[in-house]
Amino acid sequence: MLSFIIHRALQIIPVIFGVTLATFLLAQIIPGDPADVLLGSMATEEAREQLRESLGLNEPVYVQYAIYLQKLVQGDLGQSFTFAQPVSQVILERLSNTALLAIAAIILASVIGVAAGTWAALKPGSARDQGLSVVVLFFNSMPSFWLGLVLILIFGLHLRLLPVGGMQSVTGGGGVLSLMAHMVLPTITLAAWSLAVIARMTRSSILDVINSDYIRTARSRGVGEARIVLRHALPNAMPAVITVIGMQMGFLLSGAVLTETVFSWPGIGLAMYQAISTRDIPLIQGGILVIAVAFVLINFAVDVLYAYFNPKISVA
Amino acid sequence: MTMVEQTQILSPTGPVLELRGLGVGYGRGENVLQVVHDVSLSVARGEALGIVGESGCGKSQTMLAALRLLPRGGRVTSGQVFLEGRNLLELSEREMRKVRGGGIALISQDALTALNPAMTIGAQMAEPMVHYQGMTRAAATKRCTELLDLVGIPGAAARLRSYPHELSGGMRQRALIAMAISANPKVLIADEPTTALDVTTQSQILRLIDRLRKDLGMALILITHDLGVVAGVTDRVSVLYAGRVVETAETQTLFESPRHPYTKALLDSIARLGDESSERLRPIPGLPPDPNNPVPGCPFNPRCSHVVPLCRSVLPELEDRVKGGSHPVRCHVDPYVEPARRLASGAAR
Repeated sequence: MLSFIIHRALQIIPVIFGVTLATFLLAQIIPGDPADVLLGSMATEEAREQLRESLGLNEPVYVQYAIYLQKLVQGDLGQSFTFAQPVSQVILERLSNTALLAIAAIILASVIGVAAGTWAALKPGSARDQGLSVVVLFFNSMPSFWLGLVLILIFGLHLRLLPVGGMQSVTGGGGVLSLMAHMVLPTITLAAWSLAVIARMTRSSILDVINSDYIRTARSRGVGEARIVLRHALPNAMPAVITVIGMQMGFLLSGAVLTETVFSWPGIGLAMYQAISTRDIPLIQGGILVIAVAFVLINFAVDVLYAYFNPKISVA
Repeated sequence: MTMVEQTQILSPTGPVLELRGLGVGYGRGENVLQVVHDVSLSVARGEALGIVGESGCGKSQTMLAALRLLPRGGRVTSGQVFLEGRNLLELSEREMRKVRGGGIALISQDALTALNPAMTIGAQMAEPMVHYQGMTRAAATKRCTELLDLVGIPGAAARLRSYPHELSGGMRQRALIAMAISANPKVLIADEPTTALDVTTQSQILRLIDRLRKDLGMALILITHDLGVVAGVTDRVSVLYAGRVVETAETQTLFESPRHPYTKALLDSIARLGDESSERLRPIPGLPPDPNNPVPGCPFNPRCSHVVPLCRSVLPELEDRVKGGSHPVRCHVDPYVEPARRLASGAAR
């Protein structure tokens, strides 16, 4: 198991290297001159040239990349134009907010998704199974920003039960309870799509394994139906479900862009949205890099979990 | 239940497991697919019964029905299953769970798929002991070690921590057998226990099952498509064809004087060492009937070399016209009766 973890960890290095190259090239590919954005169209040519020189934009591409990498390992992601702060600081301040939302959403999606999928799989073809299929289809076909707006309309404006944006009430002093109230709607919005995917995957994986010989063996030894599902079917169905959950965590980070925008949630997503609309290229680069690295690390964690649930993997 | 039946069932030589007129079907209403018809079998305490037939003849379906473990969609359409006089088909699911393992235990054919790949051998062995029989973990571990010793797995304590894929095929089958006997079942059903194994291991496993049956006083039902497997192990054999019992006899009688053309054909298809006349195997022509498309009359008539017009229209009853009960046959023609009689009288001389 340990050698498997080390082996898998070493594979991460080239992937992350590739990610830095991609984010660097991204800035090269995006049309438009950063000098225009920073100085405005009224600036003189000398001022622009001076800025380009100071930003290193006149160097050859590979030198720029080397400089980029060098700064990167020092934790310097450049300067955000819009926030007038180092990119690393902008991201760091918001990372925990996004993580809070994403973790809450993935927990909600996993717990309810796995439970609903298992529940449906116990009686395939029954009314509740078909009911779940309808709900899954509904959540899967609904854009998250639309769901967010509908939730705001119902719970925020009509019922006035929950706050519609931000992390704390404007008057302040709400503490944890206020934070949790602010989290409800964005968490549901962010989780809905993943929840549906996880529920569907859990259902089909359990149905795949429930007819296995080892399930019959356990039944033939008098093991009860609850233990059959929880102790025998679910662990064998988990590798597929965990893979999907891991992929969903990656999607949640990108899904956060829309959800955070709708709910004015001060996370990386909202910052990325602002960066994209103002062409704040260092911030876009930094944001993508952080999201991509998080994605890679999550996948690593998923593989380790996968090996835990399927002992055969760690041998190979 | 009358007094006579009661005493018969509780007498030590009476059947411990008895199937009466068992039918198994899939689906409902008009489209029901009947895979087992009117199967009656019984096995006495300590006795070994072989159930033989080609793939798809309903051997496993019959036994799964007795355990009430038919796959989804399957159900018992007729008949009763008695374990020590109790009709299992009338028990609640909770009562049935107690029967499984302790009353009737099952050994499946492929031990690799029959063991949970995500649990250690020890964890799956001990599960019913700890959670349903109220044993402590320590006691269960001790019992598991004893069981693995009993089935001849060396280094039992270490093996309990192994996962199924870490064991060899023969060891997995032994572990599966250890699991099956863990709750001292009265009846052990072994469903093709040696098909997935190489020939040397096959005979070891058969000898192990045979020894355990005798030592533990279990009744054994050995399901196989291979008559050679039942030869040394079982006391009696029932031959199934297309979901019906076509012949039942004591093993030796069946081998020496089979009476159903299908049994004869099965015997002819076995390779025998040192038998000059059977240098070439004689396979049975044709295929078993498709349950979707049942054959009218005797189900074996399209493949039978002794067929008469009656066979194509009327299903023969399972009856013994020669010995008065000990050797029932489902055949209009019974072509091997005469040779069997001759053999019997020849043996008497």
